[in-house]
Amino acid sequence: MTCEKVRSLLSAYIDSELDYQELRQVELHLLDCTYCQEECRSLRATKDLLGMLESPQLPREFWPELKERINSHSVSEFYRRLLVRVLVPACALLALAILPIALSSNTGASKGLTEAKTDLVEPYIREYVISELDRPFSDKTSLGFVATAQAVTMYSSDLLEPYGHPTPHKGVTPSGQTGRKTQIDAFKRVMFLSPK
Amino acid sequence: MLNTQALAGAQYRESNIEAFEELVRTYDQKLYRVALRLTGNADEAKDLAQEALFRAYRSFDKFKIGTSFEKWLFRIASNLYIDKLRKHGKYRFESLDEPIATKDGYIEKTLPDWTGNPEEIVEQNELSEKIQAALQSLPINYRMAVVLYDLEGFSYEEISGILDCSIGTVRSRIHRGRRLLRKKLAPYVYQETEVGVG
Repeated sequence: MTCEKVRSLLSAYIDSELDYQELRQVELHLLDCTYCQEECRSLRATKDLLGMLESPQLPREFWPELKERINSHSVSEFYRRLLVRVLVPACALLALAILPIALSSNTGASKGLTEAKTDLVEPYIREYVISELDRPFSDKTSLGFVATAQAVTMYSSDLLEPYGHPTPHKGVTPSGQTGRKTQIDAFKRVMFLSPK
Repeated sequence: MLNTQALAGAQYRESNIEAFEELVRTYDQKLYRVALRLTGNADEAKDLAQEALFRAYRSFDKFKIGTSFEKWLFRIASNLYIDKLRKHGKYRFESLDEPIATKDGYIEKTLPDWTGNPEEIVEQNELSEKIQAALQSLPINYRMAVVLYDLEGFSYEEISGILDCSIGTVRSRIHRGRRLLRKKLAPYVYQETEVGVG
């Protein structure tokens, strides 16, 4: 075995980690080679030197800190599991149960909302817009802003009256596509067109 | 011998911290020592060891019953350390007794109280620092292999399991690591050799 090969095995030789064959070859080589003997001695001394390092003690706060972390993790894990395994499925079931009811009462709900909106519109807005429209030089654009889309929508029937349009039932907005078209037309009239 | 089978049972799975603590108490000191030798810094060592134990606790389900818990734990720690090195670049070396800078000035760190005469203590401190600095200068793979073998007494086979490499690679890393250390610590090494020869 060459010096180079033996030197590469010296640490394992010191650590008794060579197999029988390698051990024999290294030992035979070391008997005759002073250079490799010295190499072996210095490596052993290096290893022994490391053994002189002091053994540090575990800091006192090590376990209290770790336990606190594990505890908080356990709590958050508990809530996470609760959320994933209980609350999410429960919400999903609830949504599935409510959805058909909500869908069936959709029209009624919309109607109720529309009626509720009527109460929210200030009557003086309507009066102001109507009175201003009759004036010859009234600013239709400005009136359009004053009479908001909501006001115009809610009172489309009233606003259409001076222009000879058929009058829907007062205070109730017609629902559906036709009703919406009427509302938009009324809004455009108020904003941009002169009275007939 | 640890009864990992029992601990892996229902009682453990109900987040029994006490049982987990009992299981890892055997290794916490060793784990902290390795962490300190790898990082060279007491705070980082504490963080590393705590994080390793926390992960072990969290992923205990993945531990294969019948295999070595110690090897598994140290594998977590070494992987964690390598990940941190990759993430943050290189860990900085901080002397164990270097004062900590705060907004109110410097705070001196306290070192263990060694018994013996003051000269010996100073020499011991100096030598420990030199050795630690030499360890810190090693490439991480060599450092891990040397620390696990020379300081903690794991076998080559165990280290190959912890570092997930062949025994041949472990042998080579330890040998190269020692040769580098010998170079760094030459005055002490040859002083020792002379004493040994004389």
